Amino acid sequence: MSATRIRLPDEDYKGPMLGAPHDGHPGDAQYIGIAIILSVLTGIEVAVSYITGIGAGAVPVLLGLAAIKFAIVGAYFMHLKFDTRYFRRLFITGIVLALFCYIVVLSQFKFFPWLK
Amino acid sequence: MSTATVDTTGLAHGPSHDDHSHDDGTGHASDVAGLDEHGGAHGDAHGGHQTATGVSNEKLGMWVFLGSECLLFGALISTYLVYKGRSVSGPQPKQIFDIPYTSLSSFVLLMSSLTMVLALSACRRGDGPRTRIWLAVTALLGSIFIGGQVYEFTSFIREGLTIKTNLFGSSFFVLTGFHGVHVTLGILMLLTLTLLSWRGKVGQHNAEVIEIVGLYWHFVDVVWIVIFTVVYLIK
Repeated sequence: MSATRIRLPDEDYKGPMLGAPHDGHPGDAQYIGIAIILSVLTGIEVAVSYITGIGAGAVPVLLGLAAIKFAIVGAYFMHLKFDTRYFRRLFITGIVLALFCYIVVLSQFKFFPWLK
Repeated sequence: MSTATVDTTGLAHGPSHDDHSHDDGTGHASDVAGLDEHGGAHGDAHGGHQTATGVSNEKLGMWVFLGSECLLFGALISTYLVYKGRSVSGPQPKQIFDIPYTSLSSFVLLMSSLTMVLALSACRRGDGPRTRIWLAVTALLGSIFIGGQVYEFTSFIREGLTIKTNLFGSSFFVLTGFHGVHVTLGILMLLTLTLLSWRGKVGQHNAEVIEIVGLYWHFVDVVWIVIFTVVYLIK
């Protein structure tokens, strides 16, 4: 006799069940704390853009700060940290494809200068 | 009894459903993606509909849409970067950008993301009045951002930069204009939600509606985080 059991794809999911109270989500105080962190990061970004001594070194710093802000909003405000991983994968796929699109466009201009 | 395990590629969500395996007396135990004996799914998102995947279809659809929006804005940002510094005439970014003003606008949009999650949080608690207040505040902050963008565009046009002036003007107005349209649509959705909440059609029983609109709103916020850095701050 055989028993067929179709395994759920996300059985190791540790977050709250759909339909259950969202106890794993941050509370209002935590959301406000996250917003303060985002504001501070924005302030640092603007300050860095005004520091002329850094020169081209400001670019990776600014991109890094933007990436951190992006990740914080995605993880906490969009609940990617608490929801099923499939939502995270869908979103990351879009971002990766967008980066790929950018790299391809830039490479076209770099390697095929007649396209300029 | 041997057990064959088949891994589906569905998007079921939640802990193991071992407890729901059914043995029909013939030795064939089955647990198909959380389906119960009536063919319904266990994963009932926020008391609403049932789905075969265990994940809300609406929420999944919004994430797929946001993934595709990444491509749209990726293409627009790429175009801006490719054309940056190639203009031979007309105002250049350094001459017309007002960083303190745009920083304030960015801060306003960032704070609207906070008020959006507070609205969702209030809705999940069943606090209707606070839900409506936070939704309205979010729409107001979004409107302030859009008002600021309209003012910025107007001042740029007065200084001689239009969508037809040079490559910078074309790519800048298309990129920030598309983002502005997204924010405007978000404001309309927020105002609609406020009205529906007022009429009692949106509440704790279907808080997912607010969550889905919130996802869209946070997305336009994260896109602005990138635009603000790439277009305005990086010289």
